[in-house]
Amino acid sequence: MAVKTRKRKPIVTKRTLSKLEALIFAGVRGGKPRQAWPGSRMSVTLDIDLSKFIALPALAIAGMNEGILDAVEQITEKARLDAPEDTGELKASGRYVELQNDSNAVSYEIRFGDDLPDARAVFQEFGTVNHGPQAYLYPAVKAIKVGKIVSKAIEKRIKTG
Amino acid sequence: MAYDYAFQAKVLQALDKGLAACLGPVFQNRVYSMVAPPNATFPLLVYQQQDLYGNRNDYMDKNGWSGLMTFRCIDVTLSGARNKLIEASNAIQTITQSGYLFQITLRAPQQFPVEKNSTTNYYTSAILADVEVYKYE
Repeated sequence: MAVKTRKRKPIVTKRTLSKLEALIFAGVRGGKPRQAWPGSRMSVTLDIDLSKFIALPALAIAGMNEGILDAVEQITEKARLDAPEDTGELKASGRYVELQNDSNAVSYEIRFGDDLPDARAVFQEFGTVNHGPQAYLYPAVKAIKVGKIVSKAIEKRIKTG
Repeated sequence: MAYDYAFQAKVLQALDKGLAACLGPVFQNRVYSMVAPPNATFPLLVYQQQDLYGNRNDYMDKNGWSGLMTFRCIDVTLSGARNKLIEASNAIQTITQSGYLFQITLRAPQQFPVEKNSTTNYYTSAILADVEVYKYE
């Protein structure tokens, strides 16, 4: 008797990925000031609402978290490389901070300019009265394909267990 | 409609013309790309691409471009800069340019520190916007 084999439906489908990508990019918003005027820090925040993916198994969630962290690290590194260099302090000030990481949401903030004596992080990104911009953070956010990195990480996690 | 192979080279010029036409009256034609000229009079507006080069955004056989832009209103008072940004945000929606279709979606305001020189404080009120340009015939 021939055994009927049912093709297993992939856990992460193309549709899920495009939804995931859309949500991730919807969460990427720039210049969220977290300190009183005058703001001297440059930052972007990646907020991902995990409740939308509650149906995904734990492995996929774990893979997604790893992928998001990997993407945040890559964005930070690219922004560091692209940041204009005079004393090197701006490059060195680049870091990411985990704002939230629980079952509901993952949120990382990529910051430049903490502990610097002036607002060069903002002025280099956006320019001043006398100088044009030398953007380093937004181009990095755009260059790193967060959705692809996350989908690869999920795939890898599901394969390796 | 014929596909325009030189469209991407024309996008920034179309944007320059369109923005100068719609924002010029708000700033007495003091609308500049990237940086204001030395000794410029205030208030003024500077716009720039924030994501370096944008993206080709063709739709079927129609030419298209999209990119992230920042519009900075600079004035010698904070309220002046803030008010001009509101005026500019309204005016920007009226952008037109023959042969092109624009869609400008304001994304988020950007906080700026005060710039000081020996005699004057300069205040900037800025907004990030997603800009799309399509060929239109």
